Amino acid sequence: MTIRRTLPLALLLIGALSCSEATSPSRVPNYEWRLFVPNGPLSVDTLSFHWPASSLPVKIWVEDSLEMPARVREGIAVWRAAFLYGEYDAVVVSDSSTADVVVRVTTAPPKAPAAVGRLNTLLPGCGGATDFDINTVATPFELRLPVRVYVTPKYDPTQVDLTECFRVTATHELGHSLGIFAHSSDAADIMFGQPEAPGLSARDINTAQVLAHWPSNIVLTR
Amino acid sequence: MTHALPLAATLVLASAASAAAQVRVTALVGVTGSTALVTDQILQSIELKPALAPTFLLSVSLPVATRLRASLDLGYSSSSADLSESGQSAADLGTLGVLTAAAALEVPLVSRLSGRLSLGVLQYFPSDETGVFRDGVPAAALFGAGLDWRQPVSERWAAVLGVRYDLHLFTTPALETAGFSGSQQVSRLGIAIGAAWELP
Repeated sequence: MTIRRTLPLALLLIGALSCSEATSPSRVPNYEWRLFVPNGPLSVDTLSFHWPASSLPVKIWVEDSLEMPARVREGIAVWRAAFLYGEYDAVVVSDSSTADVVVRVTTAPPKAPAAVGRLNTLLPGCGGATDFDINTVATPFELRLPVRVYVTPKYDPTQVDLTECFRVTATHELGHSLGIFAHSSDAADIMFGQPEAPGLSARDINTAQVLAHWPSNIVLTR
Repeated sequence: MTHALPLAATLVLASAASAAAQVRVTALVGVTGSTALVTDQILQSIELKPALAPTFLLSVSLPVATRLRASLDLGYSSSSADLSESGQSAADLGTLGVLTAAAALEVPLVSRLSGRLSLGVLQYFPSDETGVFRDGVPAAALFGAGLDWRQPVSERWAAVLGVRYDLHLFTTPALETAGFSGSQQVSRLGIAIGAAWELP
């Protein structure tokens, strides 16, 4: 009697639960993140990079100036939240000699010949640059650590509040350091060359997630 | 509200106890396997799935009618949350504890075999509140079924072999924010051995 009463209810519940199916998002639109390096008159190498799981959390050293460590920590949190499966994590460390990424509050030095990749960012109050020293002759390609990030105030920070500018720039440059080797063409993205967006757009998130699962053809050296 | 269900269940069991019923306490230890919590596609197929988990089950039951017992069940299991890409192990996303609480009905089937149906709640406890778990994991309704083989070893003690199956829906605020629609149907299957003790 009891079984006859409960069995239909159980089957109904199983049926209701069985109808449920999660659908994953498509990760489009996204934008080009790869670096294209000419290797001959008519040919290019396509470079893609993401931090291997064995290198996580990425160690970032930040010059203790103009509250930049706080801005970088905010940027790390923003990017960490863009991923669902722990593809990226970073911590601020106190020893620059072992850091994977070094962030300095200064004007970027003249581009060294070996530095294949430099990405400059320009905001009204401050600027930024990220240098990648990539050996494109080596096989596989080698990224020499540390990645160097520069954040530069354009005005006297004691006269003008540059907090937001530093926050956006730090987040933008961290985006380069995690493997976005290009600028977006959409001003709504934080990875636009002159970023105005306060945070990551859906395109930024899609791009970061796709690059984290795209095969990396760059190994790390020091 | 949080305490209403356990209180009501306790009152039901207490009133049943007054009908000269025997309380039976069953403790089981075993393992539980689970289907994927998340299936995704980013260039390749991605699955997030708890590894085979050591499981502890505790049940207190009373007869509530002829050939029918009602029980309160608690279960806890803990294992790593494994990420795989295209079927290959890719990462370990920390430890995932799973606590279940359910009300069940048990009915004898044949010989020493009894069957059970349960309804309850399931709560995940991730060790790392990042990624899919970063904004927490809501409790999920749980439907379960099981079989127990009970071998008496003395007047009050019996050895028990139990098989448990349950079904729930999994989603998290982080998955919803990321654009997942719907919930993932998750099945768990466990096997456990232990002992049952009948109070005087």
